This record gives sequence, C-alpha cells and structure tokens, in this order.
Amino acid sequence: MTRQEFLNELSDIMQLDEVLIGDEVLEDFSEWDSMANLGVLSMFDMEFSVHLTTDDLKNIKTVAGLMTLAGDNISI
Amino acid sequence: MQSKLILVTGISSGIGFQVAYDLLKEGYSVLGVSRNSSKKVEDLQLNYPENFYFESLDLTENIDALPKWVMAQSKEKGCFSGFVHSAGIQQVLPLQFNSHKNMLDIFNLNVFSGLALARGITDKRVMNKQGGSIVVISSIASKIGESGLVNYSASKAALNGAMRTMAKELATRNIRVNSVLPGFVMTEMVEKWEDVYDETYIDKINSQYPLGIGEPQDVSNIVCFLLGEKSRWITGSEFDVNGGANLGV
Repeated sequence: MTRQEFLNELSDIMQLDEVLIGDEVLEDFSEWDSMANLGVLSMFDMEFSVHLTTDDLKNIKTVAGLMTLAGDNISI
Repeated sequence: MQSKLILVTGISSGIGFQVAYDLLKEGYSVLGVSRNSSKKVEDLQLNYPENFYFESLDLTENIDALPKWVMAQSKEKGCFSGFVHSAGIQQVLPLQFNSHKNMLDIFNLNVFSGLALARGITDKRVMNKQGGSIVVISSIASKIGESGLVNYSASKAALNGAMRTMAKELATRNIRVNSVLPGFVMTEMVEKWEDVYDETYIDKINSQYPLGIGEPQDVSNIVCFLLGEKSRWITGSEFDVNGGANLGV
C-alpha cells in the first residue's frame, strides 16, 4: 500500500470530508473515536496481517505514528 | 434546513412502493432503488419530478460497492435523513431441498445488501449531522415458524439482530434503527407464489388474523412514523404489524 492509499483509507475510516496529509494529531479530530479505532485495527489486520490492540493505539499521537506501525507495508 | 431525503429499497412494488408514495405525499424526497422499474415507479417519476429519484440497481451484484454507491448518490442529491430496507425475496422451499446457494440468494438481498447500504448511509459524510432513522422491513416469520420458510425466516431474524446492534452503535449520533415485522400482506411477492398461497391458504391465514390480512398501507403507516420526528425516542425496537396474528388461534 502506498502512503497516499493509507491516508485515503484512514480518511475513509474516520469519515472525514478532507483527505489527511499525514502530520495531523489524531486527538484533534472528534472522528478519532472508539469506532475509528476499531476500524484502524481491522485495516491493519486485513491489509497488513498486523494484529494490533487498542493499547497499541493509545500510544500513537499522530497519523504519521500510525504509518510507522505499518512499517514496510507502506511504500513511498 | 435539515434534508428530508430517504433511501428506499424494493421500490417497484408492495411495501417499498407504498412507503415511497406516502413519504412523497408527506413532503419528503425519496431515492428509490429496485432491480427493475415498474408502471407505478414511472407514475411517481411523472408526479414528483423534483422529489423522486429512481435508480435501477441489482443490490446483490456487488454488495461491497454499495457504501460507495450511497456516497456518490449523496454527493449528487444531498445528505440523507433515513433509509428503509424493503427489498426482499421469499422462497418457499422444504428444508430437505435447501442448499447453500438458496441460502445465499436470500441472505444476499434480504440481509447483506441492507447492511452494506446501512454502512453507506450512516457515514458521517452521508447522513444528516442532526441524525436520522433507519427502518428495516423484517417479518412475522422472524418470530413465528412457517413451513418452507427456513431461509426467509432466518434472514428476517438476522435483520432484527443487526437492527439492535446498529441501534446501539449509532445512538450517540442520534441515528435511530428499528424493524417492522409485517404479517401476511397482500403484495406482488405473495401473488408470485400463488400456487402456494392459494385460496385455501388465504382462508386459513384470514382465520388466524383477527383483523384480517393486511395491505401495504398498514405497514407503510408505521414506517413513516418511525422515520419522522414523532418517534424520536424510539430505537432498537421491533414492531409487530400483523392484524393480531401473534395473539394465537
């Protein structure tokens, strides 16, 4: 998955009108709620076979941080 | 002003058509969906050119694409305030002839397409910010056994279960979800099975329904109520509409 595809998918999960650019702080969005958390966990599971927990997400502050969790699964 | 656009599936006949007709009369806008159009649908297009949109769509063809389809419709027509899943098919089939394909045929339309559309319609970019209402047309068969309806009754019971979970999940956004469980209603779907629902069967049903067999209007009345503001404190509920059939014989 490319960086842009990741940002598009995350924007969809959070149901945002605008597409994310990557440097946003997650807690600045009211859409970053428990359902969005579950959506991200499902995305990592289905797209990358990476099994995260909600605890993993608690330490992540930014969109870029989420991309770091995906590691090599995201290409430039 | 809050939009009053409602998505209604199964629009070409029966309960779906009646709901669309009544909503248009009440001043709503309706996006109606069915696989094929019908004379009734064409009449709606003529009579409500500003408020009625029709899309011919096989809801079972690409179920995963339905949420995006709803979003595209919303970009064209505005935010939705409600959704009525009335599309459905019935099989009358003894259990020993059942197959996975028969099960899937029923579940794809009756359940899975509805859940996919519900996903699309409740997207924050699609549903009114103030909230909305979803009504799924279930059936008395979800609660009362009837020979030959194993797949149909299972699909309608599945809708009731999904309805309750959606109601809980969406309540924080003021999106209400309820199901309506009609009893035997004279629709084109019933007429299609005239070999099964012959005069003897209709007489039997009539004797079991203290208020007689229903009409699409009887179901539409409560659906319209559940879509409107007067039902604002009602969510996660099943509504029996069956002329007293569950009173027993």
